[in-house]
Amino acid sequence: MIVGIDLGTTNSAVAIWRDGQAILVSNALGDPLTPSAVSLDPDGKTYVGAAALERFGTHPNDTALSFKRYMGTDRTVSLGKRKFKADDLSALVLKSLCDDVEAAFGERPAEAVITVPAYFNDRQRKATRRAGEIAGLKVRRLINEPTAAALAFGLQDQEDREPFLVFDLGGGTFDVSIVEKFEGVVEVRASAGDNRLGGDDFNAALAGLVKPRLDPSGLLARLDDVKREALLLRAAEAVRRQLSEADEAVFTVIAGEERLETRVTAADLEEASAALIQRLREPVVRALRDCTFDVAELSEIVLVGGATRMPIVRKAITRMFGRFPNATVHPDHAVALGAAVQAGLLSRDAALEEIRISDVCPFTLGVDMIERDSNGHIHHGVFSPIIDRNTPVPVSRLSTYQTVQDNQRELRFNIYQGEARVVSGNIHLGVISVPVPPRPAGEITADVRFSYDSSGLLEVDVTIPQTALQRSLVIVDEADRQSEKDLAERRAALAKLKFHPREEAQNVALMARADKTYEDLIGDERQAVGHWITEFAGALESQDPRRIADARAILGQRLDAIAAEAPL
Amino acid sequence: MNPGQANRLLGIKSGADVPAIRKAYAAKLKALDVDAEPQAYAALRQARDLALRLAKAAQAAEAPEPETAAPASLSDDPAEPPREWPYAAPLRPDLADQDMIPIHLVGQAEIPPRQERPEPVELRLPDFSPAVERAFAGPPQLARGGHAAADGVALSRPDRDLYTLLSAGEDAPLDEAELARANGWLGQILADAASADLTLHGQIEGWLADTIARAWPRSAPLLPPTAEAFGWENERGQLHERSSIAWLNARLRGFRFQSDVVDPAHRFHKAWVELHQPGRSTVLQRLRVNRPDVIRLLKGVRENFPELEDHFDPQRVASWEGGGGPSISFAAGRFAEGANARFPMFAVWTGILFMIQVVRFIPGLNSDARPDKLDGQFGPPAAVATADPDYERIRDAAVIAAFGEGKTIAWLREHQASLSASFEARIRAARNSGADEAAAIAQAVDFVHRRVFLAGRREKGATLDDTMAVHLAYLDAASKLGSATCLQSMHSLDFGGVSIPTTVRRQEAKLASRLAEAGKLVEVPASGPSQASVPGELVGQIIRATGLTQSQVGKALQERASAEDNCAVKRALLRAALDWNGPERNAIFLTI
Repeated sequence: MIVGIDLGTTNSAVAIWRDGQAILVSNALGDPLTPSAVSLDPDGKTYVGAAALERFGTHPNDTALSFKRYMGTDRTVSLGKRKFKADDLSALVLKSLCDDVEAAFGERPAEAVITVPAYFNDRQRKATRRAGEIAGLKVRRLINEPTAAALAFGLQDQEDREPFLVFDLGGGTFDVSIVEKFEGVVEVRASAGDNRLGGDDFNAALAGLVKPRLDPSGLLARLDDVKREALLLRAAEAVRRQLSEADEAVFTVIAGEERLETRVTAADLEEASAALIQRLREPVVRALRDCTFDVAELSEIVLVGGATRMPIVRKAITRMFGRFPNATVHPDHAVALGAAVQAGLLSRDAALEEIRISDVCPFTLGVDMIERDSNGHIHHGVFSPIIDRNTPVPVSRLSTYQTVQDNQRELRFNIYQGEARVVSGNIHLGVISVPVPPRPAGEITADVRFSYDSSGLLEVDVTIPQTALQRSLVIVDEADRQSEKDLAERRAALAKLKFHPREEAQNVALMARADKTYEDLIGDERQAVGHWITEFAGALESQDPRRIADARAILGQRLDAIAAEAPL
Repeated sequence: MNPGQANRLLGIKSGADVPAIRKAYAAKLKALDVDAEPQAYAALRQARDLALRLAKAAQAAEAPEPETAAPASLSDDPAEPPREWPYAAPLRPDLADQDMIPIHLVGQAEIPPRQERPEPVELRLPDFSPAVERAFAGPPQLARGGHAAADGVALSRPDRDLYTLLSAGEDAPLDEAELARANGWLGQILADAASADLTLHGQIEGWLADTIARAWPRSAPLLPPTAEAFGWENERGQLHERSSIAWLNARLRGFRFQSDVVDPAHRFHKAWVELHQPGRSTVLQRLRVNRPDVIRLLKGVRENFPELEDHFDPQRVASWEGGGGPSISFAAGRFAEGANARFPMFAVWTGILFMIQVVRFIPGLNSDARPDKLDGQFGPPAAVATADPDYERIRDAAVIAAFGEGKTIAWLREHQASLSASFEARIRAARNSGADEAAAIAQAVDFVHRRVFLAGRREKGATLDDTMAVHLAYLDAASKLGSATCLQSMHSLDFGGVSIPTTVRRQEAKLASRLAEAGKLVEVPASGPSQASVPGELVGQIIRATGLTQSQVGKALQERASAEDNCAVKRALLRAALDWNGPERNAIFLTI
């Protein structure tokens, strides 16, 4: 079985292709969305999903959120005493999603299509693939998120579609793709994006704006940094969600025994995020320019990603395009559904026989070179593009270079991705070098071939025709180099983590929620919640399924009642 | 690939229409395993793209004249924002006639691709005036829609006004009053762009790029805010940088360098001044300037900002470049020796001390108008009569607030007319953007504060001390609102929202009137990053005052510590330097 997985910054989801359609698979709590959150308690018990998200409020030092932002970097996240890389944490989320599929269909998926932001670079893609491998999945294909959404949108009906634009603003990344559909071919014409822009940035901006007002006497300064940031960001997230529905919300933070409150209006949020809104424009303009379409030629603006629910984002989109966007696809589900369609395509499902998808490589790939200008000056580190951005993939391109020094013994190519004319402004992906026979400058040439596959992974071949010597490099970074042994070790390390049995998932999540509610209250209310928690813990200890179910229902209702009063 | 090959590959007849090509392409694609045969896929795509291009060209040739109206689906919906840019300011008419730049062509089926736009370098023709005359012959179009109603200026056409102002007066730089007006119009145009759809936004961007390029260098001060608003500098050095923007980005860097180098603290300032002197230089004159600096400046200017060489005196340049070589290099050698000889003394003086480099943070200081907040920062068009009945009363109150009891606008006009024009423009702008009396006064006072600070710190003696003491009091007041506010105010010189004690205000009003009477409250060009060494004596005082460690202080002085530390340390440095009389004092002040 091949599953389609949307591995998001905030939420993840899994879908499968079955009986001619894509179906979302719900988790143990009955929700198709699993928060991309991992938490570890001191005795090694691991929480993934909703329970982990709740624990962010109570145990910020043991909990990791938004780790997708560190994919492909060496940065580690500490949970308690243990350190994890982003791909390890993502693997835990993937595992949890596979558990859900296994619970629903009785079969553990072995293969997957995983989505990545279109503007994810090669390192980030590699890390995503590695996360899949650590989770025990064979990653058949990485597919760009807006492309997946375009598949979900495009396959809603049989009609051809004039170019439409997918506007995908998620928790941590922003992508724009311009897509056409004709004769069953869904064709991405151009993609652009910003892989450091998403809902999280709006939270941080809002928290930054509100902080001085919220806490004039500096109470928060007494808390430790992680806790303070956790409280502020969580409150900002809640307020931002409320402001999607109302014009005003109360920003509340409980610091110890003190309740800090301030009123926040939609205008405040707008002010805080003006600079972020400004950044939405550039990728759109770039994508349009690259495929030489005019705004007027776009038939629809399709919204994807949770952050497109924000009224200020919708307002900005309406202003940019001079029309209202299309909100017919579910912003949180479309990507996973599209990934399931891709999974169906890969397993050559009969229902998809007439469907094809073509994507592009959204950035420029090339090597560094030395260039001599008309005055004879030598310039080092000039970027020589081999695959231009927005070239249809898969693609294979050849470019020829020559030696610059007499008796040069080696040709070394540094491989870069990016749009800057000098390589220092681009991302270094790897290096490949070939020995050459000593000859006068310019006499030895090298053919460099870049092959970029449908998953967005790059392979480089260098051939020296004079010596018939060939070198090949699948671009690997340090993390990949020790891969096989290392992967096995990491897989083993994760296997040692203890998980709660699946049937306890609801209890665990509810208990985490109750703990968080406890911390969000002060005075009598807090004591009452403390009392309920003790009651519920008592019920759990009894191991009587019926008593537990009753206690769970009661506690759930009580927490709902409190949440309805104070919307946090 | 030629059309015949493309047709064969797709299996279509020549002259096939778009749906037929798509159908053929889709059929071929479905028969292909693209992952196994990337070359075949690339060839198929290429054939398809070529066939589509030819088919579309043929279609366009047959089609009647394109409609000029916006597509029906767009104009029919009343809820939609207007799509047409109401401005119709002229481009050079011969170009406009060729539809090179689609200012009035919104909604037309075919908009020429951007790449075909000529580079502004080639557009820079001096013959503004006749074009302007002709284009503005008729009455202005009252088509500004909602915008005109909003600011109550029905006849104002910021694009036309700006264009006229820029095209008048040859290459002469804008004077202060003209600049205030130009900034006002630019602010309105940029505000329009910010709320425009992408097409209109692109047109405004193109119009501004073109206008600024053609009126260069007169338009120079308008370039930084415009580039900021459109993110032009993000494009710099990119493979896909548009040629017109590349030209402006190069000018922008030159303009910044030029604004920086006029600061006496700038490394190449002496060399810059030297190269401006008329005539050949004598050997004696050349001894006073560091030869490597002059040579490096010349080389740097030629490589990076060739247009700036026009500023230099050619004879002067020649005298540095050729002839007299040996004696000059000897002089340079001596100069370097001299510097080395001084070093041990300096080292003795700092024997018990240690040195820390202070780096000043420059963004935000480039001009009085901060480009990130355009609204209300610009003056309104001067040609428009003000309809604000409270205006004069507010203005008079603002003069008293900024310059002290007994001062009037007449007094200000007499001593510094340009300042008074900008001052009034601020108040009008504030009022136009809906500020109440107190806010308008506060904005005007803030404006004067910035001027006083930037001008006062170039003074000596009591004036300098007063300026710095007032600034310290401001920073102290700002830090009461938190270290972020303190740091932000320090960088932007914007103290809006900070409550300043009355005694400080009074002290500053005295200082302001003194400087104004001396005619010194002029716009001071932004200065580049300046450096100073902080002697250990002061570092010791800072450590005692802040309770931080030496390395923390070092970091904070270079703005590499937390906002809280940066703010506390900078204030402690200023406080300590005020009570101290060492040789680095003035340099330290310049870093604040």
